Amino acid sequence: MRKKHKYEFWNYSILDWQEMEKHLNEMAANGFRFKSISFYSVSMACYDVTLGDCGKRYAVDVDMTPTLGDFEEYKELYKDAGWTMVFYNEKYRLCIFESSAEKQCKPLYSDTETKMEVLSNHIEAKGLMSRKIFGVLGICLAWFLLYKTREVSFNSSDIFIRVIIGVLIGYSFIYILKAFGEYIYMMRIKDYSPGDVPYNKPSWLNKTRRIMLYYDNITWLISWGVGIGLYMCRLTTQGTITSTIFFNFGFVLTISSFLLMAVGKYIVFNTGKIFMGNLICYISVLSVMLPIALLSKEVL
Amino acid sequence: MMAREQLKNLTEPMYYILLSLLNENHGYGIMQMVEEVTEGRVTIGAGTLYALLSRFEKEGFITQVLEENRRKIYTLTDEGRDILKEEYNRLNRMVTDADKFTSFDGERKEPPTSGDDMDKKEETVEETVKEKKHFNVGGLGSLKDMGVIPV
Repeated sequence: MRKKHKYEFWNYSILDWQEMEKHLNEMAANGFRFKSISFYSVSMACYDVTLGDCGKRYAVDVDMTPTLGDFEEYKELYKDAGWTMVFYNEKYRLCIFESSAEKQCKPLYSDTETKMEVLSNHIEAKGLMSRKIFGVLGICLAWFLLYKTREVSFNSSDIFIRVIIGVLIGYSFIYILKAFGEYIYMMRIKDYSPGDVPYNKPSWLNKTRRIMLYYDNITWLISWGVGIGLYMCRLTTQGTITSTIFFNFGFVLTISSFLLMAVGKYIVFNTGKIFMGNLICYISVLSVMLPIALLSKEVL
Repeated sequence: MMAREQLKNLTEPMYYILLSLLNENHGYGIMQMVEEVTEGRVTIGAGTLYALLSRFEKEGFITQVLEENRRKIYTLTDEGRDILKEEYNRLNRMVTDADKFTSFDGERKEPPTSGDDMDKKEETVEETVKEKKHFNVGGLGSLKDMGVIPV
């Protein structure tokens, strides 16, 4: 049986609009027609698989209607120009438009000034710059508290703890680097004035985005491993597997959390029951996190 | 940027969008008209058009006349007409200036050399500054005085 859908992890933000467009167009040329993105818990994109080039082109835009006008007019105007809205996310105000490659529709923005202005408005409305600052401050505070309370130490004798600390240090470092790069990028966007040379993102910033994706997945894997490890510890120290129904149920849930996530995403993308799918994803997240929250004190 | 910074000069898409709104027009009409009239030299993307239309409406240069099948129809306001007129005059002046430059056969102005005519030098500097201001703002100076554009 031929594969019908393709799923992939998604970690483009609105600041990566150029990369996002490029990626979607490349996927389309390789026969993957964009279907949807689910941002809940683990961000994933879904594509319909077609034979050969699917003949579609994509453009990414920021929804300007909250600050400017009305949504229907916006959609209608783009439609008249040949761009149909295929995806919209209210939270991130991300719009993805599709057009047929034959029509050779004009790009959404015929001048750089307007595009920069729209992005700049979005950055201001969403407070993206202050978010970056608070993100970095939060990470610094977390490390400071960990250091102060001496709850964890890199010199710990336990190799497992050392690996986790190493991963966390790496994560923080990449996060701060990315936040720094994006902050500068946003400053450039905001300072753009007509006639300036458009500022492109440095390539290392794209690399940090990709590394962050791996980190997210590694974090999930580690959390999952820790959760299962905790259950096993509890099993070996406190007797049989049939101690409580709740315990057994939790154990099964944690082991199958990846399956649950997959089922949740499948439901979101393919049946349109978004609430149901998201609920299952939520249970999957909980089932990874719960044993760490509940059992870590008891076992350690 | 949009709220903080007011219009100083019209960019090319702004100019053409305002021109195509001399008569009542909707978004699609504007895009087509600009491309047709300029014979494909200027094209206006949907994003650019939407952002600029909303901005013009906010600043009171254009107004919505009616709505047909979710397509809004706009036309210029008096303020918009003034802006367009000013820009038209500025561009016209630039063309006539160019003509004057090409047919210019005066002598090259030499900078003052001796320290005796310092007073004279200061005067000329002041004059050029005044003149420069006039050219840079491209007639929007008078608009500013009229209170049309808050600067």
